[in-house]
Amino acid sequence: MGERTRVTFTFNGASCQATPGESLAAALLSSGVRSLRRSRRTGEPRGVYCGIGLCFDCIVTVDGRPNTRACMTLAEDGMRVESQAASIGQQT
Amino acid sequence: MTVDHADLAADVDLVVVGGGPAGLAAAIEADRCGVSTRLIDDRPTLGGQIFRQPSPSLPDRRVLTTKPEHARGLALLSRLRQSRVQQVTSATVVDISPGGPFRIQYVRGDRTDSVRARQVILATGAYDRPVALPGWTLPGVVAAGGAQAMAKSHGVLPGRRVVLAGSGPLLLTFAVQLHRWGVQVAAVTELAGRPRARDLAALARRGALAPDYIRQGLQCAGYLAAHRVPVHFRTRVTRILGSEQVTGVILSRVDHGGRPLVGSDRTVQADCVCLGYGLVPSPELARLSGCEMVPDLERAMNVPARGALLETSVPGLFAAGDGVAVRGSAVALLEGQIAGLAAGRNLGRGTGERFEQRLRPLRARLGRSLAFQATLSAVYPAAISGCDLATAETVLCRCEEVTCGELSAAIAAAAPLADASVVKGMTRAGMGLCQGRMCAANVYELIASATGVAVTAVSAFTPRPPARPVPFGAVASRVDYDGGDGDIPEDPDCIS
Repeated sequence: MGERTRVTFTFNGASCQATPGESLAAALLSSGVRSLRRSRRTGEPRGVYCGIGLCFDCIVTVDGRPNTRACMTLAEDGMRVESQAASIGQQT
Repeated sequence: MTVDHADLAADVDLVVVGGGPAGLAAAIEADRCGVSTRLIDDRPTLGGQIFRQPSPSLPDRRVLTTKPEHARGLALLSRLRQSRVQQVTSATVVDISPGGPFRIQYVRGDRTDSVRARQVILATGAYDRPVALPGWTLPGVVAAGGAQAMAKSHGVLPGRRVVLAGSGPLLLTFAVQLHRWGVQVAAVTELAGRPRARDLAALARRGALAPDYIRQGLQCAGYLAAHRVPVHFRTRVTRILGSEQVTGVILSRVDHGGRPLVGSDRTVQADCVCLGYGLVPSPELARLSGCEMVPDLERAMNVPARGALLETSVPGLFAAGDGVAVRGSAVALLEGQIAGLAAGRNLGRGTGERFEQRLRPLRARLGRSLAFQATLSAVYPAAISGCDLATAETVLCRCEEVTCGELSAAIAAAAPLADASVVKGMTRAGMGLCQGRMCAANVYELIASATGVAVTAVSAFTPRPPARPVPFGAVASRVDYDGGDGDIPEDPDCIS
């Protein structure tokens, strides 16, 4: 299969590229982004851990929707992806 | 108002939860029997983890396949496409209410849908055993299965210079895959000892039953030796180094109990650590559905009790594959078929002699596969501590950032009444978004060792719906506090 068009999204304002059908986690990892957020309590950096949608460590805010798993969300053109304020993700 | 489910007609005969090997096989088999079936999977594409296919738009140069699984997965998925099975993807099942019929609720994006089915097969699969050790929350530490998944689907590698730490036959296979894909494998550390000659001989005898498996194992060992990839037996990564991300690891030789030997530490530079301590089943939905659970002593956890046809204690509810006991895809495929066949028989499709004829060879093949797996488990220990390397500062509950020290203190304060719910209330461990999947087993282990009971005897976190986090909007989109209404909204786009 030949190369298709790329999709472009932003992560914390910086432009990132992905192939259509690629998860945000994969696209960010291939752009060299390892750390996706800071933990609420200790401010430690966190990234993709389980990679299959179970651990919720890779949560980001996508177009304003917090707690979105980067590993389970396909990158789409124009998506605005942000490291979420730590406190949002942890409210129960 | 309470609606009696028995009064309601079913939407489909069967719902299969999970689209990996067991779920695919179950759905295909049931469809073959003429059972109307809906297959629901969490991921955007079917195949589970092992049969993950490259994303269709992935350029050829980035496709990283693993041949046998890729081919088997393609064959199954093509059979599924030719079937009448309704496929719902990117949908997370959050609740199953037993009854006649069952009511299965699932969340897809911002909305909740539900479906009524006369039978249910759970094929929820397994995930990497969480092993808490110092540094395991750093970016660059990835579960081996997750790293494999991202490579297979998206052609993305987990790091440039990788250390693989864990145990089990999949570890060497993964090391070969990474090396073939161009990753520098700095070290592979295997908790178990080098397989002994008599274990290998036993495997070879059983190997007649699973020649592919044996051949693959030997090929992997040969490949790694030829490419000078360091494989250390009876060795563990005991600490992961770095502050913003992984910069290296400490390796230690360990004794037969997995305890690090003093003075055997050395540092290896790496930008990524893949943790692959084997897989653990996901039986949450079975527990939530009220299935009787029994201890699996070998794996030190509770799993749904099953009869010979993989039926659980809840009538009409089956559980198949790695979601109950991790035995690999060959066993999962057979179990899926058996459960699909049995569900069909319960529904009056494929009964009597036809049922027996179809079942007999499946049973025989399952017996042989299980015998091979049993021999394999003699080489690799199945019950591994998930927190013996943790120090007081090591985070056990990743979501709520509860450390091993905080948990131990809470358990000591609550003893002898410490159980998982008490400890959860005291520390918040298990209250986060992963709903305890990353910490429950380790919390149980700490409680068990502090109170002197078996891990499987520790009373577990109470299962409550939703089984996965649900956006508030998805709950609000469907207000039916009384347990059901007649009108099931259908999203035509989500059913292909």
